[in-house]
Amino acid sequence: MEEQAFLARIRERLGRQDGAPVAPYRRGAPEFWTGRSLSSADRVSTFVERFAQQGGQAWVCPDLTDLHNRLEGLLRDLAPPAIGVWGGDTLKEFQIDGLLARFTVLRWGEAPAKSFADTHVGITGCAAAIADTGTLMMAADAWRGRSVHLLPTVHIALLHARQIKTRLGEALPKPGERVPSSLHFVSGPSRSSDIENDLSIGVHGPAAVYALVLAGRAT
Amino acid sequence: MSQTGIRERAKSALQDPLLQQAVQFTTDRLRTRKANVTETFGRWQAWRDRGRDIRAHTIAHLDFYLQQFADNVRAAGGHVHFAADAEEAAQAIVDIAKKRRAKLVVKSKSMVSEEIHLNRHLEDEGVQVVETDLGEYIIQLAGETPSHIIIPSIHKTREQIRELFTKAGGENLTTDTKALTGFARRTLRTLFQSADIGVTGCNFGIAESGTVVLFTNEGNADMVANLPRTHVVIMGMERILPSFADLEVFSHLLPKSATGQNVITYMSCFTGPRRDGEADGARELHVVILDNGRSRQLGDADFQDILHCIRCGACLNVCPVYRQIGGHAYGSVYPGPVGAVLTPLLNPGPEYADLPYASSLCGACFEACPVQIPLHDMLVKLRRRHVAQGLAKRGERAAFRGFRLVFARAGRYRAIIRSGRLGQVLVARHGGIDARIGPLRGWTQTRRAPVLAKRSFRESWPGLRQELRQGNRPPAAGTEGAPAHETAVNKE
Amino acid sequence: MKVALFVTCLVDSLYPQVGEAMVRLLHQLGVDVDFPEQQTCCGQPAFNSGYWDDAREVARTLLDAFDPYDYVVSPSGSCCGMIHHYYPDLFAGDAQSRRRAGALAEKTYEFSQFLVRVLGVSDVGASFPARATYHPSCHGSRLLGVRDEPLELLRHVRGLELVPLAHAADCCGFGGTFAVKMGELSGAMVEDKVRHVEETQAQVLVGTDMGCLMNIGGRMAREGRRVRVMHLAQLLYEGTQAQHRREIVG
Ligand code: SF4
Repeated sequence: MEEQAFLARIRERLGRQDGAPVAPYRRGAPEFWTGRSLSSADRVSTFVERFAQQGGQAWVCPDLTDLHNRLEGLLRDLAPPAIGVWGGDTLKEFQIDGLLARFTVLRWGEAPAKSFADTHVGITGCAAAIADTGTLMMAADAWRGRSVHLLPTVHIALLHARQIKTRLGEALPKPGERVPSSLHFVSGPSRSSDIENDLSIGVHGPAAVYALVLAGRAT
Repeated sequence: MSQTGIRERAKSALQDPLLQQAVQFTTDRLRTRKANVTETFGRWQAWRDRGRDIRAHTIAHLDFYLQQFADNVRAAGGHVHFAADAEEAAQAIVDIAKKRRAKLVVKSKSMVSEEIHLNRHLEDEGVQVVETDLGEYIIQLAGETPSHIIIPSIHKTREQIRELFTKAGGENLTTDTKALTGFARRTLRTLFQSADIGVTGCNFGIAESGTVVLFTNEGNADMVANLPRTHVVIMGMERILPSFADLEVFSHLLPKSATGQNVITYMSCFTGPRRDGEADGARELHVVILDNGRSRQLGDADFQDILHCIRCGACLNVCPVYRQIGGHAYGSVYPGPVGAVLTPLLNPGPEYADLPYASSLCGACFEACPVQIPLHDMLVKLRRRHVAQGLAKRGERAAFRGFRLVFARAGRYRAIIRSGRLGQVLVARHGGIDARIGPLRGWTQTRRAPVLAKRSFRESWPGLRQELRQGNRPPAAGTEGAPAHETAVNKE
Repeated sequence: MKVALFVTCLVDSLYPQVGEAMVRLLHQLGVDVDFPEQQTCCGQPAFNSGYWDDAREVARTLLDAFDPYDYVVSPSGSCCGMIHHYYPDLFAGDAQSRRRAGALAEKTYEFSQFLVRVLGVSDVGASFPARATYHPSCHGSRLLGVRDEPLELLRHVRGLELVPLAHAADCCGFGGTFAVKMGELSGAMVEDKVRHVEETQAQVLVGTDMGCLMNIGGRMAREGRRVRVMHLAQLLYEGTQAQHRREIVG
């Protein structure tokens, strides 16, 4: 059907004029919700707790050395045949290249996108994290492919404590802001309860999600 | 299309204990989890109020927001198709498939795609369609339709699922959940990679940015949307929210109501196709916006609110009728209380006119609804509409005219009760009616019917009033007898 | 204060003892109710089936009957719910009747509501040594908002052991004409309800709507169960009588 005819029918049913203004309304979450905010320490601890409730595991790392030790330990246990990582400088501040040298690493933007289907671990940063729900916000661009965290069995996200917001609304795009082609809010591993309401993990997406939160100031 | 009525379909569902067991087990769990999560979250009523306000505002200005949404989808590089009915929507998608020479289409769960019978249309064109949501995959293998909005395979047991998967090529599968989901993961993974088109539904379209938002737990929708070259979104025209700020509200209302989850595992927001320099994501994005009877509800004070629905399924999980008969008995795409309202609204005429009668009007659906749609009121108003349209049975019409003749005048009513007492002497035994024939048989098949009291209240009133006025000590209670059936119990 | 009893057609014709218990109990509490005889039925059977014109004519009997009173009290949450929730719609086309319906709704109370909210009584001085469970009626609780009042009254009954009913808020399957029209379905619903009642091992099932109680009781009678089914007013009134007797004996 032609677009204008489609919309005209709606207008007619609603008794509205073409170009009629929109009445004001109470937009967004209730004020008692938008008005609250957690201290930075509470944001971090709440994130770690809720992330675990969602079936993920998060650690707060006091410094880069600790983050490296954690990551190394994880990779030692997982022994992945291939690791996918974000490309370019996106993870530079976490200085993990040396640590990854021992592994087969596919970098987004360099290796063909399709090859990420064979990665076992995906290492990424994130655009933001949400304490309330233990959520990672992933925003796509040329260096931050969607497949890196979507296709592997294990997703490891590296982030700074200051990236953690209290609630979802703080991370969502503001009016007029340029919105990335893909914003992906991830709260724990892939799950399904379609078989007799029995929870199973890792149906299509990753079966395990880890977050390493770097405390303090970034370098 | 169903040949039988809801009554017959319900009857056969009632004879399927496996179905009832499966549905009751799952809906019980979902509603308990919902109760817990909303309790912990707190101020649920305030959230429901906000949800209803936002939906009401959006629908009341739908022309504006839909235009804004379409403009922004295009500004982000997507294509928008408007479809007046199911046929047009299916045709739009078939055309895309033809143009892309598609052989394989992967789908994530979409009730609207069921509404337009998309799979059948694509298959008629020789395109293979594979459902990738675990529950949808199961029922596709079974050749069935979803029986729940959120959990399409709610009626299937793990043994039935094992059989289906074994037939589909899974060797030596056990009934272990892990083994079953593992098979689905392996099988579907390869299909995501080779599919030409991915079809998804749309939970919300954000007008201010032209963003399509999907709520999923498995991650299949992300595979479907991101891996094939072309992503087709099919959405009902009411599925709009003005802004991202409003999405925050529904990011709480939807998963908490649907499954009692605090948060959905994946909330995926697509704004246009992949952009320059990006190496994944669909290259082409199409959004098909469907009317199919929805615009008819606009401006109708009795039913416009049905377009507020966010398809969370909470009304199904609390419905005492749904828990007895499951989804298929409704004979339509949308089951449960929302289906009993939506289906006859979208498809007026005699075919689904009996659905609104499959309700005791208990109001549990309204109480559960995150946007407070008065489904129970709508069911009554639909019955009224059917009566007005002459779709009700003639005998029933006569019966209620009789009701009015008797009950609109106290004198007649009084006389009738007296003569009724005479009439029932023939059928009553032991203070109750058990006869399983006659107009009450729907009742008496499972229950004893009471008999008219020896003296109605209004007949004893003058005596009672006099007694109390004179300040007599009231006699011990129970002398008038207990309820009829209770007396009967004692006598038996 | 002029108080009228809206007895409802069901109680009038099938369960007059419920109306009587209510009148006697209110009398003991110092409230003498009147029974205006023009009243018949709230019109709900026709209304719920879609016959609004017929329902409206029947509903008018209540507008006429209760005009002169300050309060209307009724043993049915469902019929009160009808007045509160649906009369505005039913009389939407007629401003004057709608006003009268609004006025009626404002002064109409379900029995337990009237005791607790209007009279401020939650202890009627009853004693009833038995194990009991309570089924809330859907319309009473959801349309009218009567949730805690019956429980509050029951909690004050001496000797009464009140046990919670599993899935208490689930409909018993009555639904007026639904129970006849969709007999099998309604029967399956009431079976569940009866099973839950039995699981409580209660001796008495208490309710505030004879529609539900007729349905549940009818099913139990068919199965030959020995649970006593009582309207709240009956239990409270009998309870006060027992108390009375004991005082005499003691
Ligand atoms: S009617 Fe309400 S409860 Fe039912 S699916 Fe829609 S939003 Fe959910």
